[in-house]
Amino acid sequence: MPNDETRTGRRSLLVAATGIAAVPCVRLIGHAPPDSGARGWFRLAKVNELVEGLPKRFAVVADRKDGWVVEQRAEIGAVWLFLRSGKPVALSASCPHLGCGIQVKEGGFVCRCHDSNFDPMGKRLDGPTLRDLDGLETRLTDGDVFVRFARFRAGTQEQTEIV
Amino acid sequence: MSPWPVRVRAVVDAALLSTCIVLALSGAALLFSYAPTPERAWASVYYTSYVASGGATVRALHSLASHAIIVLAAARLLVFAVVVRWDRREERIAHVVALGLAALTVLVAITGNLLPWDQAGWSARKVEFQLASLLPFVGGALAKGAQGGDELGALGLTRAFALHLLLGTGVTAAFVSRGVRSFEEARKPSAFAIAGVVLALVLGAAVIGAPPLGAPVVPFAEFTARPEWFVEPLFRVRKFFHGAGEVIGPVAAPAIIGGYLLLIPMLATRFAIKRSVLLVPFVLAVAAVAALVAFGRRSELRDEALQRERTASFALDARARKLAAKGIPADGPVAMLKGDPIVRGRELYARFCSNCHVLGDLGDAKKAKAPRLDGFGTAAWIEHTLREPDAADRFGRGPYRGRMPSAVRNLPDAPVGKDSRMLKNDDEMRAVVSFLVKQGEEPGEPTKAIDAKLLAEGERLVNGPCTTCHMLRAVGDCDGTQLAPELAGYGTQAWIRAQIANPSSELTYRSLALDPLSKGHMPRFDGEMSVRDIDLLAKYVRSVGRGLSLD
Repeated sequence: MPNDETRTGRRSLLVAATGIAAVPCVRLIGHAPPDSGARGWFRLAKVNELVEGLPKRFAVVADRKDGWVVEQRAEIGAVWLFLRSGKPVALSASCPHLGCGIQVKEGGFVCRCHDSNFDPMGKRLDGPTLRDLDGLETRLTDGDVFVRFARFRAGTQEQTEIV
Repeated sequence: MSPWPVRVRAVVDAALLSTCIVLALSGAALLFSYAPTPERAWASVYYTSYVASGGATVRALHSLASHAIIVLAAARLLVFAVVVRWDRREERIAHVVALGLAALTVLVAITGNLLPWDQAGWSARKVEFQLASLLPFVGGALAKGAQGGDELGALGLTRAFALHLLLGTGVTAAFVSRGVRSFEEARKPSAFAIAGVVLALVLGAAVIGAPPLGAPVVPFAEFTARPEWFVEPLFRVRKFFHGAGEVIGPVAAPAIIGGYLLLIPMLATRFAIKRSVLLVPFVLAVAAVAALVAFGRRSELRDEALQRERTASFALDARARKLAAKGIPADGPVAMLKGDPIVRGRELYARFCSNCHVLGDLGDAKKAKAPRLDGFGTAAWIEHTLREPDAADRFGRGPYRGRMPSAVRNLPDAPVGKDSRMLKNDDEMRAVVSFLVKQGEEPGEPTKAIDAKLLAEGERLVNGPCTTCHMLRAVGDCDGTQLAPELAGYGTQAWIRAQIANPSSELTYRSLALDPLSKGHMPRFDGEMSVRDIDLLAKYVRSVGRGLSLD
C-alpha cells in the first residue's frame, strides 16, 4: 500500500503531466487561421451592364483560402451595383446586421432574415440593423467598374472594416 | 412503490435511454459514409441518403431521434423541477446536471445540423455565429474559433463534426447511465417505455423518411436563413430586442427559463409553495413563446416575396439532387452547380442578357430593347419575326429597327402598286419557316418530320429574297456586307454560342454587327465570360427558349 505522501506525489505528477500536454492541445483547438485576405479593388462589371436606379448583384470572385484549402476563382462576396446620375454606386450585399444576403425589393433593399429595410441608396429605414448598408468605393476606368471590396463587422452601429 | 412523479421520471429516463441508443447506433453507422470537409460533406451525405443501401433509413432514424431527444431532455428537466427534493444534495446536483444536459443536447443538435453542409444549415449557423460574436468579451474569439476563421468554412465544419461526436457521445453516455440507474424506480413502465420508444422511432423513421437533402452551401448565395424549430423561439423572441439587447435576449431568455426551472424545487422547499403554483409562470412563458412562433410563421406564409424565394430554393434543392445523381465532381458540389446550364446559365443570363432580352421570368418586357428569346428558333418565333420584324419584342426598340423588311408586306422602296412582298402566301411562309426551323435542330433531337418537298421549297425561297441581305452557308448576294445574320445553323447551340461570344464572327452577323454605327447593338462577351460559361449560357437560352428539358 502506498502511503499518503507517495499518493500526493503521484497526483501532482499526473496533474503536471496533463497540464503540460494540455497546452498544445488547447492551442490547436483554439487556433483561428488568419483572414483569407480577400479584399481590394476588383473589376466587377462594365459600366454599360449597369442600369440607372436598378441594382444588379455581382459576385466578387477571387482565390479563397479556407483552412487547408485554396479554392480558386471562388465567390468571396457579393455587391449590389447600379448607376446614380450616371455614376456607379456599390453597396455590400452582406447585411450590416448579422451578415445575411441583402435583396432588392420594390423601393429599396431588404434583409429577409430579420426584416431590416433600406431605401434605394441603402439608408436604413427600419428593422434591427443599427447602420446603413455598407457602401463600397467605386472607380470607373475605360468603361470598367472597379469596386474596392471590403468586409465589415456585423451587428455594430459604427462601421468597422475587418482587416 | 415509488410516488408517481418519480415513476414518471423513470419513464422519461427510460425513453431517453432508448433514444440515445438509437442515436448512438445510427450515428455510428452514418460515420462509415461521411466525410467532414466542404468539398465532400454534402456529396457523402447525398451518397448515404440516396445511394447507399439502408442509408436513407439510418439517416431518417438519426434525424427523428435527434428531435425526440431534444423534447425528452426538456421534458426531463421539467420532471426534475417537479420531483427533486432540494434538501438532498445528490438530487440538487442531478437537477443542475439535467439542465446542463438539456443545453448540451441542443448544442449537439446544432453542430449535427451543420454536417450535411447544405445551404439551410450553413446559413442558420452563420447567423448564430455572427450573433455570438457580439457577446461581450468572449464573443469574438468564440465565433472565430467555432467558425474556424472569419467565415464559416472548412475548419468550422471539421470542428462541428468533432464537437458533435465528442459532446454527442458524452451526452448519450450520461443519459444511458442515468436511464439504467432509474430503471429500478419503475421497472415495468420503464421496460414498456424502452420498447415503445424504439418501436415508435423505427416505425416513424420508416413512415416519415429522412428529411430531403437541401442544396449544397454556396457561400454568399442569396438565401434567407431560418433556424430549426428548437432555436426558433429565440429567433422569434429576438425581434423584440434591438441594438445591444439583441445578443442579450437569446442568451438571457433561455438562461432565465432554465434558471427558473432549476429554482422551483428550492422555492417549493424553502417557502413551502406548491409546485403546481410555481409551474404556472413557466407554462405561461412557454405558451407565449409558442404563440409567438405560430404568429411569426403565419405572417411568413403571407409574405409573397419570401414564399417565392422558398419555391425557388426548393427547386434548387431538387436540381442539386438530380445533378448529384449523375455523380459529384471531385471539386465538390459547388463546381457541380457551376457546371449546370440551368443553375449557372440562369445566373449568367440574369447578369449579361436580361438588360436587353426577355426570356421567361428574366428581363423587363417594358424596357427590353432586343428580341424576346422565348421560343427563339421555333416556328412561331420565326414567323412572327418574318411578319413583324419591327415589333416591340423583335427589333422594334433596338438599333436594328428598320433594317429588316416584313416578308408579308410590300417593300418600302418598291414602286407603288407593284406586289413586292417577299412571301406571297401562307404556303410560302410555311415553307420558309419549316426550312429555318430545320436550321436550328440539333442532331438527335426529337423533331416533327418535315416534308422534303416543303423543305426544298423553303430553301429555294430563302435563296431568293432572303439572301439579298442574309447569308446561307456563307453564300449571299451582298457577300456578307449587310447587317443580317448567317441563316445556316440559325438557332443551334453553335450559332447561339457564336453570337454570344462575338456577334461579328462569320457564323452569325459578320463585321457590321460591332460597327459603331449600330450603337446599342449586342456586344461580344468572349472577354467577359469563359468559353465554358458561354457554352452553359447558350444551352440555357436555347433550352429555355424552346421549352426543352436539360436532363
